[in-house]
Amino acid sequence: MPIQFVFLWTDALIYVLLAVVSVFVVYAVRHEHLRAPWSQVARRPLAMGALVVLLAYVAIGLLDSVHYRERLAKQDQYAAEVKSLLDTLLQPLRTRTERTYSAPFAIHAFTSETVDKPDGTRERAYPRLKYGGAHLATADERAGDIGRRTARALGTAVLVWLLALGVFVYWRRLPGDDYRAAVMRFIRGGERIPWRTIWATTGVLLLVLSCGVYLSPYYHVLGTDQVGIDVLYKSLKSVRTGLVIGTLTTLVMLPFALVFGVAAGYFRGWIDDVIQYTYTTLSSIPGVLLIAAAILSLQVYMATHPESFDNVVVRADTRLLFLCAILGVTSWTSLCRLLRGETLKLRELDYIGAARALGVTSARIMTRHLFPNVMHVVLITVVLDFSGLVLAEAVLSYVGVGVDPSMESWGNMINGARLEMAREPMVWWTLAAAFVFMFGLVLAANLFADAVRDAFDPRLRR
Amino acid sequence: MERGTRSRGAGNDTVLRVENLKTYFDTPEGTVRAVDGVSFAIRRGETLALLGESGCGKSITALSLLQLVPEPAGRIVAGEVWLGDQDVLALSERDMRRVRGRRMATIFQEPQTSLNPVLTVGLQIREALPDVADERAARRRVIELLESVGIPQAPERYDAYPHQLSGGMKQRVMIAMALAAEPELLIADEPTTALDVTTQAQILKLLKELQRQTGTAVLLITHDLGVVAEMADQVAVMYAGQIVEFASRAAFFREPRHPYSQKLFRSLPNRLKRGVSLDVIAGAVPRLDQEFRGCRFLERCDFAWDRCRAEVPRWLEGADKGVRCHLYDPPADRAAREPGSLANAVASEGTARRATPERSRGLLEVKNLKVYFPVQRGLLQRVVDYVRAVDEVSFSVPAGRTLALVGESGSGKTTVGKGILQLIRPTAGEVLFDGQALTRLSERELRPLRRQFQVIFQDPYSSLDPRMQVGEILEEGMRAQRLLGDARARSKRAAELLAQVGLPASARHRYPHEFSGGQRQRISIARALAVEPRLIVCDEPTSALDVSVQAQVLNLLRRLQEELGLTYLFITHNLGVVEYLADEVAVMYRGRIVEQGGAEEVLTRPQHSYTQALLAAVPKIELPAERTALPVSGRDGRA
Repeated sequence: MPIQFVFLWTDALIYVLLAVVSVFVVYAVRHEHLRAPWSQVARRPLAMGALVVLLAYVAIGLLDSVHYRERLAKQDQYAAEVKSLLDTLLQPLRTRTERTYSAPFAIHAFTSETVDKPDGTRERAYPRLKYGGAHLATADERAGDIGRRTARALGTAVLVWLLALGVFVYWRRLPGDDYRAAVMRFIRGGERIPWRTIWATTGVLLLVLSCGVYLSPYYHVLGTDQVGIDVLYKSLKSVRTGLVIGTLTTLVMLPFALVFGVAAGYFRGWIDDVIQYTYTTLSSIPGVLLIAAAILSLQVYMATHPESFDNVVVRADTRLLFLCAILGVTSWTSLCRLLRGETLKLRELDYIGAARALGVTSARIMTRHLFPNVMHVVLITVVLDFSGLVLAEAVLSYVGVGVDPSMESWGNMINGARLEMAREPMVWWTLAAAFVFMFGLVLAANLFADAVRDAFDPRLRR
Repeated sequence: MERGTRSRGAGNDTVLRVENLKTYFDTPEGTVRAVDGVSFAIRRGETLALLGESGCGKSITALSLLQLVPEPAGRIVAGEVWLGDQDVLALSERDMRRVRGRRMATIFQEPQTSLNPVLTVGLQIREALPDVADERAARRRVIELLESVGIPQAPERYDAYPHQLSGGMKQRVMIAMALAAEPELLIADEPTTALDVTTQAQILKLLKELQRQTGTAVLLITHDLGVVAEMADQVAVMYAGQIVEFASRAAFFREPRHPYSQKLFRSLPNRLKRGVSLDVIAGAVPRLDQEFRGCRFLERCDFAWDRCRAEVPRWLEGADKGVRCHLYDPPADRAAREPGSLANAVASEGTARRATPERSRGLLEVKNLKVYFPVQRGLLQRVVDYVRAVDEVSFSVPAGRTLALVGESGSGKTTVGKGILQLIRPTAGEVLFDGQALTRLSERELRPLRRQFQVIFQDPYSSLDPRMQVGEILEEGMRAQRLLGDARARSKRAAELLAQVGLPASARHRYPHEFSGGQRQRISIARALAVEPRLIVCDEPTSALDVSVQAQVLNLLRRLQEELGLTYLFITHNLGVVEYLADEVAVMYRGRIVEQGGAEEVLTRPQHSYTQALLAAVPKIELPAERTALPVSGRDGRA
C-alpha cells in the first residue's frame, strides 16, 4: 500500500454528518411537507447562488478531511506526517515557503536584509524571493507576466464554463426541442429553479479558481506570513476548521436540545423543573470562562499524557473536537428553551390529545408527533447558528482559547495579524485574506439561512 | 352587464350603493375571482345581511368597500362603491383614512384580537373619536359611549385593559369604538360568531337598539341564518363570489327561491328532522380561478339541467327581490327543462327512521366528577385557590344512546369530556366505563382500555398531525392497541375506514392539509373508529364547519350509530344539533349540571332558569314550509 489512511475524530464525525444529511435529503424528497418548503428555497435565486458558494466551501472542507500518511520511499514504514487530499493538491503552495513576510504578487522580500555581494561587500537590500516570481529576470516583466497569465486563466475558465453549460442545456432540453430553442429557453429564464443564477455563480467561482491555478504556482497571490507560508494556503486550510466548528458543534448539541427541550415541554412537572434549572444554571455561567477552563484543562491533560497524542495533527484535532463539544454544551440551552416553548404549545393541540386517547405511548408521541413538528425550529436555528459559530471560533482563537495554535484557522490568522497591523509599513494581507474568506462563508450561510427560515417559519407562510 | 339592485338604490336615503364590484386575487395558481360582480344598496336605518358560507367572498366584499383588500395579491378590478355622493373607490389612501372609521366603521369577528391589549379601552375608543379638543369632554363622550353600549360602571371601565373584560364586553367596546364617530354605515363582519348564545342575543339586541336611535345603516356579514332572522331587513345570499338571491327578510324566510338558499334551510338540523337524514349540499364550492361557462352552483344543484351547464344565469330582478337562477327564467326560455330532476330532488330526502336501541344500563357512568385547577401565587407557588372547572357532575349514558352535554364556553363541558377520557385526571369523583372505574387505573392499565372510548375534537385543523399521511394517522391507533399484526392488514383496514366515512382509499397517501374542514372531520371520525370503540366523546365536532358540511357530518355520525351501535357523549352549544341528534340532554352552567333529562322534555319544558334563558336566546328561524322548489309560473318578481 502506498498510503495509509488516517481517520481523525473530526473526520469520522464529518462523514457521519454527511451520511445524516444524505439520509435527510432522501427522506425530505419522499415527504411532501419537507419537500414543499425546500423547493420554495430552491426557487429563490439569491439562496441558490449562496448555496453554490457554500458547496464550494464544503468541497474544500471535504478534500481537507481525507487524511493519510505516505509510504516512505526506501524504508518499510509510513511517514510520520499526516497529509490531507487538499495538502497534496496544494503541494506547490505548501512547500514553497519563503523566509518571512512578502506582499501579494511580490518578487522581492518585504523586509530588507543584509546581503553578501559577490565582490565581498555587504549591503542592505530587499532580496529576491526564493519562489515568488522566481521565473522572472527583472521586476519590470512582472505586470506583463501577470496580465498574460490572468488572460489565459480567464480564457480557460470561460471555455470550461461554456462547455459545461452546453452539456447542461443539451441534457435538459425538452423532447422535440432543437438545441437553439433549448438555449433560448435557458437565456430567457423563468424556470422554477433559477438555473441562470446558479450558472452565473458557478462561472464566477470558476474564474477565481482558474486564476488561482494559473497564478499561484508562480506568485504568492495573497502574500506570505511571518514564517513565509503562503497565505492562500493558510486560508484554504482554515475552511475546514470553520466548517467543523460550525457544523459539528450543532451535531453535539442537537440531541441534548431536542430530547431535553421536547421532554420538558411534553411531560411538564418535575421533569420540566429539572431541565429548566439545568439550562438556566448552565446559561448563567459566562461561556468564555467555561470554555477557557475546559480548554486549559485539556492542555494540561495532553501535556501529562503525551503517549496518547502521537503527533501534532492528532493533538490539534483533539483540541478542535473538544472545542466543538464545549461550544455545543454552552449553546444548547437557547435551542432547548425554544423547543420547550414550541412543545408546550403543541402538546395542547388536539392531535396530541387524540394520540393519547388512542393509548399511544409517550415515547412514541414524542418521536412520531412532536419531533417532526418542531423540526422547522431546529432547522432554522441550525442554519442561523452556523455563521455565529464560525465567528465565535475566530473570537475564541483571538482570545487564545480557541483551536490549537498549530492548526490553520481564520481565528489564528486574525490573532497573528494583531501584531502585523502595528508594523510600519503595515502587513495587511493576512487579515484581509482571513476576512475575505470568512466573509464569503458567513455571508453565503446567512443568505441561505434567511431563505430557509422564510420557507419553514409557519408565521411567514402565505 | 347585469345591473343588480340599481333601481332600488335610487332614493335619496341610500347610504351605500355598490355596483358590479369585482375583486380578484393573483395567486401562483391563477387569478381567483373572489368577488365577481356584486351589486347591492343599503338605505338609512336598514340592515342588509350578506349571507354565505366560508369562502364565498362576503368578507372580501366588505374589505373592498373599505379599500383594505390585502395587497399586492388582491386588487379591485371593476365596480363602483358610492357612499352617499362619494365614489369611495376613487379616493386616495390618504382621503380613504378619513372615510374609514368616520363614515364607514367596522366591527370584526374576534373581539380578543381586535383590541390592543396594552392600551386601556377608554384610550382606544378615544382614538376613534373625531377631533375633540378638550380632554375632559373627550373622556365624557367616551363614558357616554360606553354607557350607550350597556357597559355597567362605565367611568371605571374607562381605565380597564381589554383582558379585564369578558368576550361580550369586548365586543361592546368594539361597537362603542365603531359608533364613536357616528358613521353612516356600520360593517359588522360576523359580529357574534365568537360569542355564546346568550351573549349573542344581548349584542344583537344592542345593535338593533343603537341602529334605531342613530339611523345607521348596517351591512351584516354572517353565515348564521339565525342571526339573519333576528337582525336583517334585507337578505343577500352570496355564493362563489356572486349574489345569487336578494329578498326582504320576510320573503326570504317565507320562501327562499334559489336552490342554494333552499338547501341551506334544509341542511339545518332541528327537532322536526329527527331520525331523518339531513339534506346535504353535495360537493364543494367550485374553484374560483376558472372562467365559468354556466351556473356556479351547477355541480351541487338538484335542479340542474342542460341550460345551467351552457349558459351563465342572468340576474332576474323583481320588486325588491332578485335571483340568479335559470329556474326563474321567463317561461319561453325554459321550455327545454327536463322533467326528471325534480323527482330526484325529492327522493334525495331520506326517510329512514331511527332504530331505537333498547334501553340498557349506563355504559358510561359519571359520579360526582370534580376537576379543579389550582391557582398558584407568590414566590413559592403556593396554592391559594382552585378554579372549579367541573364540580360534582353526575350523569350516565346508556349504551347505543346519545347524551348531549350543552353549555356555553367556560361552562366546563370540554373539561368533563377530557376528564372522562382521562386526558385530564379528575380531582375527585368516579368515571365508570362498563362498570370499571377508570379514575382508579394507572396510565399503563388504562392503555388497553382506551380503544373502547374515543374522541372527536372540534377544530378540524389542529386535530390531525400535519406531518403525517392520512394512512399513518388511521393506523396509529391500531398499532398502539396492537389490533392488526401486519402492515398490509392495517392498510386494508384504513381503506375500509375511509370508505365507511365516505372518502376514497387513495386519501391514505395524502396529507391532512389537502382536505377541506368537513373531510378532515371525517378523517378524525375514521381515526376514532379504527380501534372499534363503543363510546365516542364528540367535542363540538361540527361547530367549526359550515351548515351544509355540518349536515354531512351529522348524517355520518347518525348512520354510524345505527350501524355500529355506538354511544355518543355529544358536547355542544348548538341547540339545533341537540334537538336533531340527542336522546338525552344535560345542561351545564359554571361547572355544574343544572338540568338533565330526555331531550324532548328539557327542550320543550325547561325547568331551570338558565335553561330557559339559553333557549330564549337562540335566534328563532321560522322555517319555510317544506315544499319543493319548483316556482309557480306567473309569480310576481319575475321579469
